[in-house]
Amino acid sequence: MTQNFDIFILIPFCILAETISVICFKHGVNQDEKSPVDVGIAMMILTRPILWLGLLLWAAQLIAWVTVLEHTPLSIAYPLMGLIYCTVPLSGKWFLGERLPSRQWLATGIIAAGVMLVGSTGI
Amino acid sequence: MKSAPTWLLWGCLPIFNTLNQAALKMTAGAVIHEAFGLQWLFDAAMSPYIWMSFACEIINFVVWMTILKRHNVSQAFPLTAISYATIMITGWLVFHEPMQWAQLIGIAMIMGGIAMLGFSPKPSSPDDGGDRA
Repeated sequence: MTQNFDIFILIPFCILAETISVICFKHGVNQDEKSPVDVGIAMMILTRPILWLGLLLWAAQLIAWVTVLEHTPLSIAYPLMGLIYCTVPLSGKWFLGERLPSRQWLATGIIAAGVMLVGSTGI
Repeated sequence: MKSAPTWLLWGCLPIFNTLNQAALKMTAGAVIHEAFGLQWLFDAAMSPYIWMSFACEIINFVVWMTILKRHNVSQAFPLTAISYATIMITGWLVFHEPMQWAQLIGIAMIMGGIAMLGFSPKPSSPDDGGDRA
């Protein structure tokens, strides 16, 4: 019962939070292309609110993740986070305008199927 | 960090990802007796394992930010694929979790898909060291 809660509620939350935080970080780093000076990473974190949002989501995700690992084996929970490999390239395409060739569409499908297979061993 | 060769940066990711997940699993073991709440958060924050995880997370964060400056998100993300194998093996060997065939097949599909995402025929970046990894 608890493990099902992990697999259907908490892990999807972690996937969503991780995806948004990766996009936030990439968007934050991308601002360099417009900036004439190359700033250090510490300075970057302090001066860019989008990176704060990324860190906040990372913290929320960390708390949810530790509660998942209380009841669910690492060898089941961690592969489910592989769905990030579908959500990040798709978000990169939709929100950052990055290119996604057809073979990468196929790859995200294979990953999603593998995630479902691993997930089925846990429910 | 800016001058670190690309292959070295890539190698750091699976090592520190695996250590990070092992530390988080041990943190979970340390707070499992407590219902989720303020006391839970306090116990988790007081566990040495969570601080091990933070150290791994900071190292990986710096490495990851450096990689992202050289590559697109959809090209750089597949680098962490190898962690899926090392973390699964850690789960079985260190935490004595049950091994199932469907898990092995699923993980093979995930890693195969990640490899397909990453190794596109077009070189991702003209910078140094990219061909060595």
